[in-house]
Amino acid sequence: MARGKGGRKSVSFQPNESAGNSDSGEITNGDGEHTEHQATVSGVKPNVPSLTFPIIPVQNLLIVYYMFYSGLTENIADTLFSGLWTIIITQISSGSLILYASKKKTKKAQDSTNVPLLLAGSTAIALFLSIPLFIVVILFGAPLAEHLKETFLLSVHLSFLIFYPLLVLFKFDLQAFAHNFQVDNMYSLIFNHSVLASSFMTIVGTWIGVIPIPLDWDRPWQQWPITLLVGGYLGSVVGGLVSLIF
Amino acid sequence: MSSLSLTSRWSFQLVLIVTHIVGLLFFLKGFFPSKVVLPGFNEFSDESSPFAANWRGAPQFDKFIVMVVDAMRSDFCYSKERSHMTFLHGLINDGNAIPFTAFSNPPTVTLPRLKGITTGGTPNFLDAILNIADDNDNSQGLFNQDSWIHQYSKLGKKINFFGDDTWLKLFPDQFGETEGTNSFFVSDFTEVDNNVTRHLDVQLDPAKSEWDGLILHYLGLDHIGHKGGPDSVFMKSKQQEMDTILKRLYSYAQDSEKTGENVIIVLMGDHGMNEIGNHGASSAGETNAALSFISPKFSHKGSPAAPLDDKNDYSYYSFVNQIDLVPTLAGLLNFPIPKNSLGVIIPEFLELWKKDDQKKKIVKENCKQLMNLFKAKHSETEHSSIWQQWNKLEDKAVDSTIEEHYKFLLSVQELLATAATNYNYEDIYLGFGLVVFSTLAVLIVYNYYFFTNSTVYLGLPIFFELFTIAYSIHFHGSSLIEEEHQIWWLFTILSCIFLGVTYFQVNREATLYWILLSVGLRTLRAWNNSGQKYSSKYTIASYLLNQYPSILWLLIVVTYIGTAIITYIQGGIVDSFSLFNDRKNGGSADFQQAGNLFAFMSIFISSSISLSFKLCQYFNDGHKIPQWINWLFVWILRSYGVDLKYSINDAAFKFKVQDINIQMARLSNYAILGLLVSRAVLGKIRKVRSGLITDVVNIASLFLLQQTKYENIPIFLVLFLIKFSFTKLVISTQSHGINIDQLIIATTIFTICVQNLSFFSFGNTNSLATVDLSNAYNGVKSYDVFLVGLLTFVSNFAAPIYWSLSSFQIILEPSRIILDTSLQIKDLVNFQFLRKSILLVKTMASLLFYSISATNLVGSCINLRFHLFIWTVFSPKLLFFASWSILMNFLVDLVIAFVILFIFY
Repeated sequence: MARGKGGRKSVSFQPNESAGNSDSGEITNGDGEHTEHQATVSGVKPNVPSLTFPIIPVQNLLIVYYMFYSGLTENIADTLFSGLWTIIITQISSGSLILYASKKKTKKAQDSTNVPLLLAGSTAIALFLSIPLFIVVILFGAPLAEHLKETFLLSVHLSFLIFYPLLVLFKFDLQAFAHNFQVDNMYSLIFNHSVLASSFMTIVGTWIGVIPIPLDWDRPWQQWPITLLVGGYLGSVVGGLVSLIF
Repeated sequence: MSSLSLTSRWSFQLVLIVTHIVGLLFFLKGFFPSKVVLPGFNEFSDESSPFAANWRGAPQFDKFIVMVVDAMRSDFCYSKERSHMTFLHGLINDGNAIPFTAFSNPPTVTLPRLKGITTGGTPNFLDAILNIADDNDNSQGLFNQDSWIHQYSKLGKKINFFGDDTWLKLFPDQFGETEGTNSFFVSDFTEVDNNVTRHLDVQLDPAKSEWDGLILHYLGLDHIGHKGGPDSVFMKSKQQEMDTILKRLYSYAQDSEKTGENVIIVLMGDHGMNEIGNHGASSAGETNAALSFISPKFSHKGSPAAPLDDKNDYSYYSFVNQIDLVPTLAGLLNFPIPKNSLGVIIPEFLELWKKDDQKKKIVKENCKQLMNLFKAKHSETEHSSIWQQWNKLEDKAVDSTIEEHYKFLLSVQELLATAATNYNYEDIYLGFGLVVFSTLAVLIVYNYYFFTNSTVYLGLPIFFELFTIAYSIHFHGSSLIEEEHQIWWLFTILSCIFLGVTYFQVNREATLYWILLSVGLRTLRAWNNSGQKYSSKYTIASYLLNQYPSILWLLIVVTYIGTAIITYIQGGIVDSFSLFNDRKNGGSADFQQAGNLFAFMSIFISSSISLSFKLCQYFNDGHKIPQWINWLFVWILRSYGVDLKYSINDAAFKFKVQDINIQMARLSNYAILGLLVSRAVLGKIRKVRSGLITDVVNIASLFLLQQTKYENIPIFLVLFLIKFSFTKLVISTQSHGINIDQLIIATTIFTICVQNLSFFSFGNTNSLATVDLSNAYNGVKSYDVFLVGLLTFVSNFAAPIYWSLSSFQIILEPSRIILDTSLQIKDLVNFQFLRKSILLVKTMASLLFYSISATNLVGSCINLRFHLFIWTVFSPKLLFFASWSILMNFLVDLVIAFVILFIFY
């Protein structure tokens, strides 16, 4: 839309109650001016370390299966807690895989990267980030008066699924990460990258995972937060797979 | 740019809305038809009665007393923890009382239950609505339908009735002496029962009164349940009161026995109540009522010693159907079983007849009566197993036992009770057709408008359509309807995220408002239980009400003060009340201050009266007023010349407080109305137009506060917060100008979400049981359909009404909400010509939502009309949806908005 035209059509903010009839009102209403899109039209380049091969966290399926096997439906909190060790260890190894996959491209960083420190630091940060994530999960509707322990353990799991790969991939570079939010075609960027897609779909999967809870099937796996956990884990795998198609 | 003029688009829109509503009404008319019943009155199948107690044909009992205690749940009579009726326990243990738990068929509301108890039929769902809505008309009278009242009167006997006047509506002119009490005045626990009991002095004196049947219907227990739940502090004393009355009746029966007259006393509840004291639906607590047959003549052995241990499913002693009362009474009092009765004579009473031969005859009589009813409804080709059994019983060559007869009776009863409805398909399909037509038309209009006319970012209107379609799919699943609040939570968050990504700016400044918004929404969700599956003790409302009443009252006072301050500073009240102040010429400072003072005084006085009323109501409902605010209550009482007495059970004192309560509510209503009218009139005279919508919203909130349950009043603080943060976010998109269509759609999405979310967060569900009647009588002394209906609607839909009005504020006067006078000049309300088209687009969008939902709901009800849950889940949802669509969308969203935007202005 041309700026001049937009300026003319924009509601001229004068309290002019007598002016205008219903028909001219119609014009303004139907063809109201529209400028906020102009600001974002700029070619922001994505800044994501690319991978030489896609990383699909298939092992997450096994982890979910293992947690069910070791009694997730009977003893939720304890199983979630013991499953935490598994997810941390697998995420650390998959983190080193991410580093290996992104190595060749970033030659400079290759020298200065202290791999053990990066992996350990990411673990610590992911653990820490589970606290804000916990608050967000509560704000999005998790029960507040009951199941707090389970909700917290859920957010630790999710934090490792969502944040850990990102922390390793971006090597703590928050600005580089935040920069990508201004990219025009953010979603195609996400789905072209297996790690980003996996993290993104974990969030979506957890979201969708909440749906079966109120249904009246009365199955043990409908307990809070099992469906969310499963949704998140499945989402991480689905995200990786989807990135293969794009 | 539309090729059509605004006027023709408006007329088309109105046609669509009317089509939608007419279609919906036609569907309801066909879906809830009047039941087909057999006309006429029954007679014995043989010349002689099978029920006679001796060769002279005398009945087993000469007189009856039916004592109905409204909402008398089984455990109030029989359980160790809940029952305080010691005299009844003694009778059970002596064998003089035969106790049962009686299943009362849903809807568990008084009128349909009384029809069931007297005629023996299963209720029609429409009865439930008529019970609430149609109190003035007498069309529900049962004078054309067979009942034991009629049969007994036909024997030349006289029945006296005292209690709930629903009976008088059902049986006009069939009773001897009567006095009716009104069942709708729920805040009265004592007077309503004393009005019944005071007649007993005369009625139980053989020298002064002559009757053959006496019916008493006590309402106090039900009122206590509605107000304070089954664990209310008044429950114990009320049960003891009922027990004492039973004792009087029993001693009358004993005295009569000495003179050779047998009297049977039936003590029963017409229905039960659920965990929070309401009824109407079909939970175990609501359907399991108490039923005891009491007479000195009985010596029934074998009942376990009363009281029994508490049971979760409320089943104590033998389980019978409540309608079994009808043939049982017919047998005991010796008259033909009413024609439409589905009841089965209770086997325990057969013992009264000594000969086996006669016992079989009695059961046979019951079989014949039921079979006549069955024949009228089903041809010989249907249900062949019933016909086979019947032929076998009729076969003289086979000697069938009593057990076989009972087996037959029970299977016929079950069949007839479950399939008692006939739908009127013509009306159903006509209604469905109209609804579908309006849906398709509005879809076309909506899409045409947004795809051709507008520069709007298409994501928003498309999201709204997808959102509506996704939402309306839930009508096809019964558990999704029961847990609809979960859907709204999911959709609200989803919509907020969508709006955040596409419409709002996500920047550092906005973060604060996003946090406030999500904290507000989350608090809303935690306030009450909703849905029918889970109920948690850990809700904010129950904490405040049960554990921290002081904090509750602190929050209520803060809410009232907050509302008053907002009313004072946000809108144009001060301007319009500054009577002598000419703004153009600068005006005199003194007059300006006089205006301030006048405005302040009116707002302060109205909100104080309203707050005082809530306090009075709180006391009246049996709560203890927190210490720190007690002085206000004492002051209110003093100003009416009453001294505070600490015993709530002091009847005279309580009656006075009740009277004060009504006066306060009226005073408050007048004050708020006066404020609204003077704002509108003064504003019109003085041409203070800007801020009018804000003023209406704020004054209306004051009234809504008054119509809200006290534990929910502080929610309004949360609603203020949510509105404030949302408006901040909306304003932040407008720094470069406003795209009006986009604004309307975004606001409509948000409004619909938050309307429903807050509706459920106020503790409402899609079940009739949670319809809140505790504020339906504020200021109403005698029952008035229109007034009580209006107050019921307002008190249950307080939050949706608030949001509906607020949505216009968000669109037209956002600067008022965020108190930014520098933006006031940009408010769309200044552009008079825009109002018509803004209201049109908004109406179109919300009609899209309601019509797509209606299509799915109506379609789902037609599809599932033989489903098990059609009367318990889908029918109540239909009624709620009709209220949403007709009262919310048409009346509030359109008519009231029209009044505000075009008449007040």
